[in-house]
This record gives sequence, structure tokens and C-alpha cells, in this order.
Amino acid sequence: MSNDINLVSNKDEASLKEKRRLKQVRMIAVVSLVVTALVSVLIFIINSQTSLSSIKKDEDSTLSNISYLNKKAAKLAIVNERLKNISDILQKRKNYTNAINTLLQLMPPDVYTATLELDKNDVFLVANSNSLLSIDKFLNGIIDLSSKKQVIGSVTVESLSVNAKTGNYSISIKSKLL
Amino acid sequence: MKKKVNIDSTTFWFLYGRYREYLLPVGVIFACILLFLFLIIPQFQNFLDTQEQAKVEVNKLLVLKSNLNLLTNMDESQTDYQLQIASTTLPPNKDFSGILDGISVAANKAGVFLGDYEFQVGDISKPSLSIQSFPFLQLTLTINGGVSGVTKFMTELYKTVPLSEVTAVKVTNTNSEITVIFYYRPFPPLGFNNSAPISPVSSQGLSTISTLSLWNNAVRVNQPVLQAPQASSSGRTNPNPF
Repeated sequence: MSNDINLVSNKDEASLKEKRRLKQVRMIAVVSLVVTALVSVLIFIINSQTSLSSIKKDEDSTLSNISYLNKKAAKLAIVNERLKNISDILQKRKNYTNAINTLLQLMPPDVYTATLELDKNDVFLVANSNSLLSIDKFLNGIIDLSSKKQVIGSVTVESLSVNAKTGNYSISIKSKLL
Repeated sequence: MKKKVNIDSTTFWFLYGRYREYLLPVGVIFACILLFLFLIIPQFQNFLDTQEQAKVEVNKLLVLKSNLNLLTNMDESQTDYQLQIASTTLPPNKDFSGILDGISVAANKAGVFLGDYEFQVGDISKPSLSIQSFPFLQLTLTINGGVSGVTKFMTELYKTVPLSEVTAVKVTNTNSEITVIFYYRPFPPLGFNNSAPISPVSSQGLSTISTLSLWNNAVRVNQPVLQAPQASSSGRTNPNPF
């Protein structure tokens, strides 16, 4: 018997298939309608709850309160600005007292300062003594300080002279101030 | 080449009859897609934008509330005192009287006598706020004292208001000379940005105020906390801009 010969009409099966498809399309339509409606309602509710106007109103009220305190705010701003500027100056201003004290501490008792000049970059010092040994000791101290890069940098001995009448030795030193 | 499709009324009604039941659900699906595209998605976008805007506004409100809280709880007399100390230390203009007072106090404390001195005033036009470095008044002082006198004077001067810096020292056997600059800086223009947070005086700032208050001449006698301007800006300093 051949299976290829089908004398029974397949009309019912096609109709059933058609009905199933229609049912699916209807179902999709209903689901999309429901989903659209739900999402719309949800977004409407969320949008209506997120109101900027109440925040703006609160902001305006706070701004209005702050406006009465503007004088205080200005004072505070100026205090902060002044303090920042003062700190900047305090940090950068040079203190020569340390440099002078350090140099003076190096001087043996019989060496005294004839001239001491300091500016932002240089130190110029003329020291006198009647003992060459003390001058040497002082010079060694200066060189030691310079090699340690404390207070002063490079050192130049500009002159070393002796006054034959008084027997006083005089040394002139120029150095970079650190 | 495009071919024209010719549908006559019989075909149309046949197709209508054949697919009539599909028309409504397909129409509904199509309408839903259109609603999604042209209504729900823009609404959702709008919702996101609003959320973003609300976030910004809430942050702004928080800053404002924090500023309000800070300013409300701020002790104004304390701020006046801090302002006076800070403005006396770094005056807004050339404070000649303050400088002379400061020099005198420092000399007294150091136990040295001062010789003649002169101001090098320089440009008397109002200094520009845009300059980065601080405007200053330069002064050369002659001190009747040796090295120890000069160091004592400099130590005292560095603890005296208005704020100064020694730029050069020259010590000889007979007398000594130092060059000092006294800083000043005009008050900045008061422009407020409401959404910017106002910060209180930092702990470092408080420590600076505390140190400055111990300096010589810091709070001048008989100087009211709030003082109205009485003379020209070059002759007298009003440490309070209000």
C-alpha cells in the first residue's frame, strides 16, 4: 500500500493550524496591550512622584535664609583668603637669624665680625682676629658647613690680609646662602 | 525594473475576508509598538533626565543646607576676631601706622635703638589683584646695635604684625642696617557662588590664628572689632571690610 495516496481531505488540519496562529496573534496583541498599559501607568506614577518643584521650592527657601547671612559668609571667605596668603608668605619668607647664629657659633672667642652682609642669595663676611690659628679654625668650620650644605653653599675667600701695625688678621669670605 | 502590483476589488475583498480576524490583533500590536516608540521611550528618557536633574538639585540643596547650617551656627564675634587678626597681619592696603607701631614694638622688645628710617613707597596706585606676588612696602632701618642686637630685632620683627620679611642685612662695627618689606594685599572682590560649599576655617587656619594672636601688636589697643573707614586708604588701615 502506498502512503503517498491520501484520499482524506486535510482541510480540518489546516483550519486548526489557522486557528492556532490566530490565537497566538491575539495572545501577543493582548500581552503587548497589557504590557504597554502597565509600563505607561508605571512611568506616569514615577514621573509624577519625582517632582523637581518641591526641591526647587526648598532651594529657594534655603537661599532666602542664606541671603540674610551673606555678611557672615563674606567675612568667613575673607578670613580663609587672608589665612591662605599669610601661610604662603610664612612658608616662603627667609629667616636670616638662623644663618647669622650658625655663622657666629663657628667663631672662636678671639675672632670678631667686622662686617656681615646677607641678602637673598649671598653672604659676605669680614672677620678679624689677632690669631691666625683662630682664623684657620673659623675657616675650617665654614668649609665644613659648606660641604654639608647647611646654611651656606659654595665659599670663596676673597682676601686674607694682615695689618702689620696692629698684628690683626682679616679674612673676607663670600658664600651662597641656601 | 519594478513591477506594478494591481489589486482589483475582488482580490482586496477576498484578502480582507481571508485575514479579517487578524486585523484587530495586528492593529493592536502595531499601535502598541508605536506607543512604545513615540510615547513610552521618550517618557522613560524624560524620567531619566528628571532623575539626573533631581540628583543635581538635591546635591545643590544639600550644599545650601550645609552652608546655611554652618553660617547659622557660626560665632560672628569669633569670626570678627579672626578677621581682625588676619587683616592686621596682612593689611588690605599700605598700613603705615601699623608698620611704625610694629617696628617700635619689635625694637623695644629686642632692646635696640633705631636710627632714622625711611619708607620706599613706590607706586601708590592701587595694586592689581591679578598679580601673583604680594605688594609690599620697603623700609631700610638703621639699628644702633651689633650682630646680637640685629638678630634679636629680626626675631622680634618676625613675631610682629604686620607681616614682614627681612631681605637684606648689613652689620658693621658701628651700626647695622636691615632692609625689611611689609606685605599687604587688597581684599578680593566678594563674589558668591551659591552652589559652592562654604568651608569653615580649617584646623591649620585656626592654628595660624592662634599663633598670630600671640604676636606683638596683633590686636591693637582701642581698635574696635567693626570699624568704619575714617581716612584715605593709604593713610589708615581698616582691617574689616564691612
